[in-house]
Amino acid sequence: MTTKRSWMRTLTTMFALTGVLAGCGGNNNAGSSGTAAPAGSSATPAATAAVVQKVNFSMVSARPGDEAFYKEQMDIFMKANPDVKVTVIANPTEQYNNALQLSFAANEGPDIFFIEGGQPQARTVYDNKWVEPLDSYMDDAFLARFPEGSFSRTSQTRVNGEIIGVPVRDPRFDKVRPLYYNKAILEQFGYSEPPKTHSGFVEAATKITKEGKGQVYGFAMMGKAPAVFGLSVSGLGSGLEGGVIGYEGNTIINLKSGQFSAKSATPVVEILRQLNAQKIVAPGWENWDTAQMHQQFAAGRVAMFIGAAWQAEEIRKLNEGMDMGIAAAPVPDAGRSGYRDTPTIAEPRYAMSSQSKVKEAAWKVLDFLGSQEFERANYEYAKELVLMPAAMEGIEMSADMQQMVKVMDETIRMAPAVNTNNQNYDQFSKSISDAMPKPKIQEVFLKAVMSNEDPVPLAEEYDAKANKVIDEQIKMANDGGITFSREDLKYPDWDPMQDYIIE
Amino acid sequence: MGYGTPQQTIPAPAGKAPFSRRAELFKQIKKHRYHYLFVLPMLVFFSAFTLWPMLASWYYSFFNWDGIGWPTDFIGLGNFREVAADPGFWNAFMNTFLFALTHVLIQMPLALVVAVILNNQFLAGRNIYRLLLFVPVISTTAVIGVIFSILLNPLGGAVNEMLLNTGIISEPINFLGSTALALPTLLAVSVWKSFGTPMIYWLAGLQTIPAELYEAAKIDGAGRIQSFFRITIPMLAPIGLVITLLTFINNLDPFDLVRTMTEGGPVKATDVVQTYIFRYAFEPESGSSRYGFASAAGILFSLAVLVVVIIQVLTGKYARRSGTKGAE
Amino acid sequence: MYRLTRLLRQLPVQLLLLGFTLIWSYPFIWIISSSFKSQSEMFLGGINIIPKEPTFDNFVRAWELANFYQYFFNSVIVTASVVMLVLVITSMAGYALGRGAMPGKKLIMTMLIISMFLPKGFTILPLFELIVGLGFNNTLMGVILAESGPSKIVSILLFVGYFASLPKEMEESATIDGAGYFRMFFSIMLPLSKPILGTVTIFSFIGAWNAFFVPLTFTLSKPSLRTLGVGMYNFFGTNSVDWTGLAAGAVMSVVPIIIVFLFLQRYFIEGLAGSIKG
Repeated sequence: MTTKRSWMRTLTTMFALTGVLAGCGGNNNAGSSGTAAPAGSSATPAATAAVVQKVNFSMVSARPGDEAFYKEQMDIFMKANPDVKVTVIANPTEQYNNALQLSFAANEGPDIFFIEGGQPQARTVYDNKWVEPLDSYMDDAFLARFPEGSFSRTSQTRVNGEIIGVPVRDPRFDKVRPLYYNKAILEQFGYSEPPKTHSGFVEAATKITKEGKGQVYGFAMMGKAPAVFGLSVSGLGSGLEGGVIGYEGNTIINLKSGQFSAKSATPVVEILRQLNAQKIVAPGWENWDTAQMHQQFAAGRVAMFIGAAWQAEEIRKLNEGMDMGIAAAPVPDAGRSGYRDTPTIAEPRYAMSSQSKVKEAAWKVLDFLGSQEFERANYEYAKELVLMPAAMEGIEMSADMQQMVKVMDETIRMAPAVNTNNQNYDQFSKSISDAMPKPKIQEVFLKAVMSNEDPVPLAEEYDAKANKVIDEQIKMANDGGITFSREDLKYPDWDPMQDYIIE
Repeated sequence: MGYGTPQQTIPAPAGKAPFSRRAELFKQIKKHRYHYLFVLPMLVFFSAFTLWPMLASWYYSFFNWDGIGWPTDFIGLGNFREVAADPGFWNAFMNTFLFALTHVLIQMPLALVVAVILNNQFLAGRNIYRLLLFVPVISTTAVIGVIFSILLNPLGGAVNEMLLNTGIISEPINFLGSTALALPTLLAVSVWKSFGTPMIYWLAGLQTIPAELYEAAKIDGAGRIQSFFRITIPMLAPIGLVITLLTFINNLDPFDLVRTMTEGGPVKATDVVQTYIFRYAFEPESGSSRYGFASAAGILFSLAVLVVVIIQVLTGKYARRSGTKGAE
Repeated sequence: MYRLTRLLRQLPVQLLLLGFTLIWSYPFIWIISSSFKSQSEMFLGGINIIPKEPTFDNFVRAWELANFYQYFFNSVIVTASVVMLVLVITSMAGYALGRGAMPGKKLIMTMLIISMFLPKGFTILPLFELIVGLGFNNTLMGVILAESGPSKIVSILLFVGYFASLPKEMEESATIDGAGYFRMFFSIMLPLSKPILGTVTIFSFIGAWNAFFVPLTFTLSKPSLRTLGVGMYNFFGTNSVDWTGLAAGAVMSVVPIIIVFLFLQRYFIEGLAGSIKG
């Protein structure tokens, strides 16, 4: 009993102590922000170079090493710019956009931040007036660092005509959907080359799974979310009917006819459905995300999958000596009649906050992030193709990367964007995607594959509904004073087999 | 619930002026002024951190609002109508209820059996057993979710490998990937994860049963099983109601587990209300958050829960009342 | 001798329990084993529990990558303060509501119980606005308030139940001894409620220690104030997951809770028993 009591006493004293500690902790915080006060007063015109400007840099941590990389780069930057102090704030990808929204809501937005999430997010940050247009900051020397067209009128670095961010990666690196294959497994089952056509692909996958006896499977895909499932659809679909864009997303549009056209993707969905129904796809794929997918591949349990370019590096990290091949995804038996599309030469990545009180210093950081020196470091660290060819010169390209570049050249062409004809589209594109019939088309496809349903009638039904939604939304936009017509979605002169270049 | 002394309201004698009743109230309040002082901090916290967010979300639910600035686009019951018309919501709704129900119907009885065994004070190592069964409760759900998705993978996952190696199965089981198995699998993991909580509740309940009762039963020649059903169960019944309620409420929010293990998939087979809300509030497929809509979904759900709980409490009260009547 | 026969008699039950808890703890055994494996052994090396080439790298990496040292310290401050705050608020309210029969008590109790059925998650925005309005955003105080503020109703009810169950004479004799209200509470009633203090401590400790969403939300612009629960997410990326680092981190972060539980488990169970009895 006495021991019990003394335990209790020590505990209470412990809590009391920690309570005091907590109080101190609070004070310490106040103290540290107090010491930071001189820097905070940088809001006053920083004419004197002695004043250190504090810049907050909010970044996405997509890989465990990302934060360390950016911190290291910022250290390099600060050495050259002792008057700027950059604080790197990392957020996990899943929480990133939410975090950004909350910090802007609290008027505590970062000075520099990532635009993560493609065009929709670029639109969001612009519409919410979080971004500072960068046109006035960028001089000719800065613009000249990037390939021609990076900041052209139709480039996605611009929203509503204004430049909203500094690009870094080659967008084709994000767009490419290569076929990853395990050479050793393919050879073991009698294939010296990866399949080039859909039927060859089905045949190889079937043979490997059937003869693999549960030890190895011919093919697998990612099914944890409709978005990652879309990678397989757009990879296998890139050679389908030309003129259709958006196989990966929820707005699949045929730009030759201006119509929503989920039906055009159904040949590929049908292939995937058959493979799944015959149990050719590795079991458990329904719950795999990208990480699980390339781990299974690296472990040698899956012979082929269609993925994203950055996965090559992750596979190498897990299994360095693996006999991995990277090839263009198989095309229809009748041959290629289209390409994977990219509407832009560059995409905005690093943006400045319109609320920033230290815009000059923030621009210095952006200037650094847009330098060849940084792109080079980024290429070396992340193994992601960057925009400036000069930044990659002299660095020996890994065999994987060389393959990847070949696949990019082979499978991607410039295409018009939905808004190329009429940029008024941007003003109501969000309402269109909000109003799209639920469940969205990628989910409909995923469900068709899992529950073995014919995708064609499902897609036809969806197309009818989606086209009605688009008509309604255009009409609502017109009523609201926005000039736009269905005709603006059509690009009759575009040859999908060629790059689409606008002067 | 077993809180509180019976309310001692002093009935005001009929025919007296309202003034004296007010004076009586004032006297009461003055008498209890320290009690009020003690409740005050809690009330302040409650209003600020529970009441205010609740009311605010009620307000938001009438607006078409993306969470930026102040909501202005008033749409009345539009969000509620859209939620109620979405089969996806009701699917999530049923799954969430299934979660809570499974814990009440499966986890609670199982936890009781284990608690009875571990309540034996002569049992060697009972503290170790208690700890081991409780460890899942204290570990981070997200980590547990990630670990289980590795363990349960049909391809190379430890569970399937073991089952295959021992020849129990000839084909790997697709625990999380099949629409038929994913929800039961999640439920099993969830039961495993939170098992320690009802176990501790039951252990606590068992301590309230006087040992003499068992001894008397032993003298009467009752076996262990008999005394379990004749003494343990009836003695635990009132506490059982409280535990049922707590278990039900605690398991209505399986967000972390579902999010890390399946994200509500495959094709929404394991979607729960919290992941549904999250999708609209934080993870817009199109780039814009729909806070008003998410709020409406949350409110519709909590209203339904409230109705269920009221029914549960009322039936419990009724059962208890008729039970005591029978005893008289 | 007696002990031995008792153990023998318990043998069937013991074997049963041993088997049950072993299967039960398998995921943890697996986590511990993974934390000593290299990334490639974990994926390519089969399902052996004993690592072929045990390594401490994961712990070293976890320590650095998750900023373990700093986050650990933050976690300790946040958790200890949350526990203290919750104990003070809930015990005082529980005492007043359990012993006092003041007007309005029923209303308060009803309000508390009804609010229990509010699903959390979508209330984060108003909560965020409140903390920002108070000027506590990006401070540990903000995290502490947001973490200890909402939904501590079960704890309040536990105290209410326990204090209500104490015999009335207790207060009467103390009053005769001349104890005032505050002394009565702090030196007589509160020490009596040790079991509930233990229970509430464990529950709020677990909650605060593992919390993820709240500490992340309120430290958006000051990562140096993040807690371990947030730090664990440094192992997840959309592109890759550091599984073995995660395992090592999980092992390190669960140890403090196990210690607290071992210390308090007795009060924990007694406490619950005491409060439900009433």
